Amino acid sequence: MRILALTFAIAFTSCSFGFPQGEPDTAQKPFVKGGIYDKPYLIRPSGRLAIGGYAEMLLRSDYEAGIHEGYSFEARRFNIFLFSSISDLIKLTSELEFEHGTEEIKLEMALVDLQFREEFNLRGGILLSPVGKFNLAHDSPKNEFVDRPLVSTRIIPATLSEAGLGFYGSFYPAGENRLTYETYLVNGLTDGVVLAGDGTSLPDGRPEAFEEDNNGSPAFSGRLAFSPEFGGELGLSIHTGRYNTYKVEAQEVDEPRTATLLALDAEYEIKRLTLQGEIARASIEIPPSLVGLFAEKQWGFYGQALYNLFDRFLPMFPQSVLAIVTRYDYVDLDADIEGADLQRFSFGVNLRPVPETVLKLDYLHNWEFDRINNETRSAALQFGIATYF
Amino acid sequence: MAAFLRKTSLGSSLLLAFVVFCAVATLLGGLSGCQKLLTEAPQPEESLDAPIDGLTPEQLGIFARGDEAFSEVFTFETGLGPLFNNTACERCHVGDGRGHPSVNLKRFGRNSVGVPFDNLEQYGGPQLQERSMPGYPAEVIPAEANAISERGGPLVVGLGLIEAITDATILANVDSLDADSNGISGRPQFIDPPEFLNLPSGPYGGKYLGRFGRKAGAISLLQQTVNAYHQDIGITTDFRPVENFNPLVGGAGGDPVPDPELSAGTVNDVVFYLQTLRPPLRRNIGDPQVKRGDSLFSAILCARCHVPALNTGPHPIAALSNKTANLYSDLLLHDMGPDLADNFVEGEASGTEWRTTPLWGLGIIETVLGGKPFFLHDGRTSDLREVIQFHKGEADSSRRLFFQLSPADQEALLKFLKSL
Repeated sequence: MRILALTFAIAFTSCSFGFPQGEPDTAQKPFVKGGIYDKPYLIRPSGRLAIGGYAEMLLRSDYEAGIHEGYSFEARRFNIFLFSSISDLIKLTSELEFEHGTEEIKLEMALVDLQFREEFNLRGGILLSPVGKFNLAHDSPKNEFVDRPLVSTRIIPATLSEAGLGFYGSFYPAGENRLTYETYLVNGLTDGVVLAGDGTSLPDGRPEAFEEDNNGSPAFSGRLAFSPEFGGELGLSIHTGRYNTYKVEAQEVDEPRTATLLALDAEYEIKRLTLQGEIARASIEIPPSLVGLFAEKQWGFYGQALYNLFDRFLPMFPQSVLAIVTRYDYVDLDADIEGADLQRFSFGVNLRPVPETVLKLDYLHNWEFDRINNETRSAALQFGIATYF
Repeated sequence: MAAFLRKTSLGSSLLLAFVVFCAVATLLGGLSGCQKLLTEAPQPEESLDAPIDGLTPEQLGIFARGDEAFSEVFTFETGLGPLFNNTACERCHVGDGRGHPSVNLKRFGRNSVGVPFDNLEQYGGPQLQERSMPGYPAEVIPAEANAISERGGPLVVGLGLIEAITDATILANVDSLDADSNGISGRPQFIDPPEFLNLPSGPYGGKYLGRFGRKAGAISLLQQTVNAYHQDIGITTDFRPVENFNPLVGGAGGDPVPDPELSAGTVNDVVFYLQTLRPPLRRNIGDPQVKRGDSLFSAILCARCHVPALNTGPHPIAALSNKTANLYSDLLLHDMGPDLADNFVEGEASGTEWRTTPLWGLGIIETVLGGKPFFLHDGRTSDLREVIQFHKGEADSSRRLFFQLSPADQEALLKFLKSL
């Protein structure tokens, strides 16, 4: 409750300080680039309801320690967006995800926004936790590689969506320099952090169903992002809360344990070059009987560079772009030991006939180190198609 | 040509198709020939996890299933615990090699003069499970324990050949009373078979010959596998369907997965996998220094216990039948003196006795231990000279003879060991 009260106080205090109330060109600068209100199906909404989505398929060829594991096609994602402008100030946005064919069907997002004013809006429902930029903007057609960054899947458990309630808004402290915030109270991660995975695993702690909190203690998730006038964005985010079921019917049955994620993300464009990256650190309190075997600290980062080689590469597609992209990933799944880490180098060639559609050709090479620091190398070639619709 | 193509819509379509095709073909085809980029296989003699030669396609299928099960990481939602030491077979036998000292197991008990060894079962002995699922108390070594044996997981390759060696072949090297007066005895461990093996009364006063484990405490790979699932990972099987609980706590609060957690079929696949893992291949056998070391190994009586080869008998798996196992062990118990003593009694094996550890794979275990080898039952050293220095008791004369060798001969012998 104190967090909620503090959030209210910050939001209203900020408003009363009188940040400029002009109407910045938000069409040019979406709240989150690639985020829930920056999708093609919303550019030309016809009427009160808009339906859209994206699809992704791929051909993959894997190699490990010299063994070619063959070729495999995969219908990885088919996600449906549904947007409703209930009134000028009330919007509903949702995303239904079909992943790996129909292996995983999940309501990834379903939220209602009450857009009071640009500086202060109320959001509730199943929302994307603002921890790292990638978790907020991860659609496959926006992603330059077939595979998501390791730090965004192994440390930050993208896609992390949780039931919660909170506020978001934007301020313009000077000119077009923009500060955005998102602060929510959410149900938080679950016992799966230690119960369901291979050692400590935040992805396995994602709530499987958006039902009641497993411990009655909401977690806090928030992100503060600064977009300077000259472009780019720098974001700082946190997700912290108790994850284990330490209370049952008001009786304490275990010690409460906290998992905290801190993330820093950055993006910048210089002419044809787009640079982006993210670094995240997780601290997890674990039961004493698992210390030494399960990780208490994890961290990782990625850095990515995209260069647009040719505009109008294909004449029948005036907006077509051919680009090359490279990324380096690193995750340390147990920062207290020498091993248990994974590095990845990726290189890709992307052809976008139109901005909504991308054909990706990727090569990636992994160096995986087990807990004893034995190295295993693997590689993959991937050809993927992803498109918004 | 390209300019022409770009001028027409048909040409543009062809160009797009051509670009995509070339790009895919370049990566999928071109890189396929580039081994460094698409990873390289280790040399066969540097790898431990290969099947033995001569398996049929059907047997290779079982081998693959067993490999997968051996690698399976258990979670609390798939049956791990309530008590356990580690989460997968492979965690203590990484790459089918020996375990890293960081994942050693501990056994405890009370060794008192004049009374039988007490496994302290009322405290969860003999094996300590220091890990437990959240909310369930792990075991601790009680104050009464005065014998604590720390042990690393052994190499698991070549075990099928060891299982296929006949009792008579092993017992032929027994010299319990040191009849040849060379200071080296060698005696067998006879043990009662556990009920789940469903064996008839054994040939040795109802008992069977033990051959697996640091003190030869297991008759067969099935026994060893079932007990490892049960004791090390907390996984119940059709063979041992009742969970291993902390006796001071009982069963309440244990894992919620119905028992048995693993079928007999999967256990048998793992046993088959262990039976058919190929023994390590020798390296540098033509090297004169290795050859010199080989002869010195016999000359200073190391080979008396570390018997270079034993033959297998008939076996249902043809690839194991009537083969030579170059294991460098007699599979018998020997008194190794005070430096290696753990004071822990296991069946007929005393607190100073150990089964002769097979030496095959000695030279490549570092490849699965993060680049650093660890030797002896508890992985206490990475230095082979130190290993030899620890050999006392029945091995004392061999130890002294080794250190009396010239430095060049000592090097030759060490080089021979690294070729195994």
